[in-house]
Amino acid sequence: MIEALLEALQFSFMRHALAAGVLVSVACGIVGTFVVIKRIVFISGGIAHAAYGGIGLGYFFRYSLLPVLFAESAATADQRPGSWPLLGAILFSLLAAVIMGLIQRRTRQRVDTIIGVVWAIGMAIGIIFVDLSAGYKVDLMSYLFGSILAVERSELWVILGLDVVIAALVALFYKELLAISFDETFATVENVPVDALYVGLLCLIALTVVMMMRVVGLIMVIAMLTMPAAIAARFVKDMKRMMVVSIVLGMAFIVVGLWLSYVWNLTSGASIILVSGVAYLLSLAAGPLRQWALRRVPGT
Amino acid sequence: MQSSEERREVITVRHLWAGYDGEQVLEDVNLSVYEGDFIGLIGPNGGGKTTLLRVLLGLLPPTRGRVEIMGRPVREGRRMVGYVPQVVEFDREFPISVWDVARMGRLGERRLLQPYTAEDDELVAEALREVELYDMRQRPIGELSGGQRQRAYIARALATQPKVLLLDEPTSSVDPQVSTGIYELLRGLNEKVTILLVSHDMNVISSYVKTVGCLNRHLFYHGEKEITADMLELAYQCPVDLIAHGVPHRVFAQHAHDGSQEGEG
Repeated sequence: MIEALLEALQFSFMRHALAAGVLVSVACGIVGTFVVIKRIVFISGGIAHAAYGGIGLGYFFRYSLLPVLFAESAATADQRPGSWPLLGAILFSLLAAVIMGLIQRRTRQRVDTIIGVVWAIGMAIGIIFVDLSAGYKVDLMSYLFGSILAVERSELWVILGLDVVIAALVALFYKELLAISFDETFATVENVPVDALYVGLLCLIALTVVMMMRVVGLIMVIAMLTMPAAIAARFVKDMKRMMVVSIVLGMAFIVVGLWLSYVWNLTSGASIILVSGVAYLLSLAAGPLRQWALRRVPGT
Repeated sequence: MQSSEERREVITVRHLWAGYDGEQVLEDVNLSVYEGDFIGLIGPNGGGKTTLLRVLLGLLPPTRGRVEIMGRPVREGRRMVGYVPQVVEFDREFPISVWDVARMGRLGERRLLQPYTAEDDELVAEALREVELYDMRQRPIGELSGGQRQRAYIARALATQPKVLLLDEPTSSVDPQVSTGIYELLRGLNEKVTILLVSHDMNVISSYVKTVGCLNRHLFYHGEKEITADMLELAYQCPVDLIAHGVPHRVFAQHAHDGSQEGEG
């Protein structure tokens, strides 16, 4: 087993994958904590799926518009989509975050309806744009199911940068974010800019979601965002500690999942999710199990 | 507007109409709350108690009328209000300590990017001591009983250094013994701060507050201690029910109240 692990680390793609997993866990743990305690898991899901619209737009831009605009670049040998789909995903997820946040705050629409609508429209836009784009649609699946093994060195820097931005923003606005998570009405009365902070929080979720798309794919993003934080919430009762525990758990799940996927030649994203899922179910069982164990101990 | 004493008007409500989606919940409500008052407003569920609080907190713009706190519009004036929400069933898992809840009372004084100061900590500690929760300050809020949680919210409101405390059903989710404790606490606090509370539970409220009013779409408040049969009937439209519940005799006290205050009628 150990040899297998060491052998795996010989490959640079494996080292990059591990580094990406560890780095993504930082943002995931911080943002996931808010997602869980503020109960916006499905808004996050909506943001993740709406991001697919941006991926489609990125493809369309790369394969249908760029060659027309710059005829010569189409002639180049490089047929990879480049960073256009990722840029599109960032744009669309931020857009979805702002739209959902504003509709939710400014109108009396039902939240779950808005989520469903944005979720589906985003996906539909993505599919249509991919239909419309000429050329190869090779790694489309990687956005849906993740492609942590294909992370490049340059992307690690981007992930690190986003980690720093997210951690810094949360640290700077910590007292307000805690207040709007716990009691929005009271925060409003204290003249905290509740709506702006909420939309800002959704934007942080959007950035995190795009990063995590690389690791587990957009379909499974919400699971990865919520499970470490949900487990942490069962054992610690302080938001900062919950973030730290979530980060550590996220790192552990990604490393273990990646290793299992390597050993058994399985899809990495799904392996990571299943490792997290098993841990989550165990944590749910931990409480009743402990009580059962205590009952078994003869009473004094 | 006349008051026999030179007391400052803390909350001013004039000809207030408010509601949702064109349906008026409050009609032509007038209310003057003076410094040192301890007012209990009772009324049936759906009578507009929460709506009135929402208007006073600037959460719901009135349809018509004027509302001021310390002579300022509510959005400014609410800085001087200590709001104590109803303790409803909330996420017991929420990872926050009693201390962090109470410290939210200092949010209004600290801008974005401005950390809490040592002075804030001092005020929070003082507020927690006042409600006798200081020793439990590190406990997660979810581990507290209903009455303790209510007192944590009161501490948070006190930490804002309010001119007036606004309480929404302060004893809705606690048993009678605990609720007595909370009213004792409020009575003590009233020596320093004005209090306005709303509740549907008139039995307890009337033994502790200085003056009572009835709210059911219209407000019947004349700055008096006693609830008159007229007020009840107007507000509840079913006085029999109330008598059956045994209104404490103090409500119907024979002696006239000291009459320090006269509502504007």
